[in-house]
Amino acid sequence: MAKYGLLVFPERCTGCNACNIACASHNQLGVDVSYNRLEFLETGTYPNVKMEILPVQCQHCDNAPCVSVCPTQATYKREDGIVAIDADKCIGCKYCMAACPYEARQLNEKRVPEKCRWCPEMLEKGEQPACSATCMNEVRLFGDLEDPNSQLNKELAKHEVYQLLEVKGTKPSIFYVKK
Amino acid sequence: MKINKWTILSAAFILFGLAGAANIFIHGEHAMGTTNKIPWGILIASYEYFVGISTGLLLVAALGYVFHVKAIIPIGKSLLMFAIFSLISGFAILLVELGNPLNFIHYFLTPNFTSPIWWMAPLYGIYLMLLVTLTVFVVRGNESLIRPFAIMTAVSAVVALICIGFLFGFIIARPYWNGPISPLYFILTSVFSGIGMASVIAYLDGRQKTSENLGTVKFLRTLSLSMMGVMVVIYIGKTFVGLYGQMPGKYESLLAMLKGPLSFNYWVLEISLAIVIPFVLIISAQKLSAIKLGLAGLLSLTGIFFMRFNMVIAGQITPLKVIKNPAEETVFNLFSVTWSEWALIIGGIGIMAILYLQRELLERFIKHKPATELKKHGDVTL
Ligand code: SF4
Ligand code: SF4
Repeated sequence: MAKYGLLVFPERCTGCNACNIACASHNQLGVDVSYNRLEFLETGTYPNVKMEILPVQCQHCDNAPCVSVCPTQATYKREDGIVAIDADKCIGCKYCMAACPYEARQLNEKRVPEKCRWCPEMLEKGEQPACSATCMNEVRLFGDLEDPNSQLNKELAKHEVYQLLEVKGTKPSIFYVKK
Repeated sequence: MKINKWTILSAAFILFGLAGAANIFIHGEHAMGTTNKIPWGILIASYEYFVGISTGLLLVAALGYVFHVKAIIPIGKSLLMFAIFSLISGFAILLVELGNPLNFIHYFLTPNFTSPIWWMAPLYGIYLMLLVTLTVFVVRGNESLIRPFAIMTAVSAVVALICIGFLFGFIIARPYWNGPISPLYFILTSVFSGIGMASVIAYLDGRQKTSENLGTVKFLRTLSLSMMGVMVVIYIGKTFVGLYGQMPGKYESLLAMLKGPLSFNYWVLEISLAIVIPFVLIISAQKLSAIKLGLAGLLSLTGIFFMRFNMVIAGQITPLKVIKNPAEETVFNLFSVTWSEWALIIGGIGIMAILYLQRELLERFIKHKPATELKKHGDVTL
């Protein structure tokens, strides 16, 4: 069984938002909902300032607070590492939204807190999900963490990486390449 | 059924609540003040508030039924009934707050035992069952069963409160809520709200002055003042620890209360109404004054409502930063409350009030006696 992961190269991101649009169109998202966001970080003092852009989405945590707190197992961790939601089981308590340290959840029209699904229908075919496939600078690389020969593992070996809010103990499945 | 101006007013409150509920059912989350950044709003705070009053009242009643504090016994039955009614109001509000209550069947089909929200249902279910049983024994005067059931109900109330404490305390994402003291905080603040409500009940129940009533008022006066002392210690502790450590997330939330967007709520609606004004009112009373104690209780209850609201919002008002930029100023998340949410809260008060006004019917049902007979024996006070 594969164990999916994602490597992000933030320094390649131009902030064009194509990933966001591709995701919204692939998942038929409503106007108020988006699974990806770009965080902008300004560093330095004028005139030596720099803008860093960080793509942020559900981290598909291995120790996911949203999974622990969901009373009905509507949110659950799949064997392949994807944190998924079964909308038919969701009572709409929004505990997962309160518990997610990454603000990854977005309430949809049916009052279900949705989030990035990692498009398993694409990953299972060995393809990149819409966000990654559309990105002109190859900022996102999906792959199988358990396959030593996967492109993902090769890139992971080459770069120094970090994870978001590691101190929270959530064990995200997304890795970010350090500058 | 007794119909007077208070019953009509309570019914109007409930109708208003139903209008709010209908608006939320039709328009969903758009009719609520919640957002993706502040997913829990005033309705979650109200739920906590009403169940807090319920468990608090029960714990005050337990002083009489478990520890034989005589001053509580004359109002004991009313405390228990109010505890039931307050819980019903809390659950009614929660039902509307839940986005998809129809999926509730999965609570039983695929339970998640690591979720404090899952535990809320069985724990509050057990508490309600024990509370109702205890009330039946008290109304029927089954002396030998009252104490053991009062002990069991009090234990179940504390356990349920600990669960609410965990519900917030477990959330590592929100430093303002996260921590081991959360269960204790909920127990103490609920007892505080129970004392406030008991003071109101002591006034309502004891309008014809007797030495018994004066004993109750005297005891509740001491209890209120002591609890206010405990609350002051909690506030000082929370504030100093928050300011001293400057822990990211917790510190900003505290500042939002002390001098930020929640400061009016905090200083005026919470601290002043819950503690300062009631304290002045109680100690300024020349002699034992049921009306001043009742009024102090009512003000405390209003302040505690905002205490719940501020606590819920403070935990979410500080943006969750995935990357830290020390130079960047904190821009707090916006919060709001809609008319539908206020309507539901007013409806909740209406449910509590109408049930209390009609408690004679409930007593008659429990005792299997016609109302006229109850009145003749002076069993029911209104
Ligand atoms: S990022 Fe948030 S929503 Fe995604 S798995 Fe982690 S806790 Fe759950
Ligand atoms: S809102 Fe739905 S998915 Fe989220 S914790 Fe509640 S039941 Fe689970």
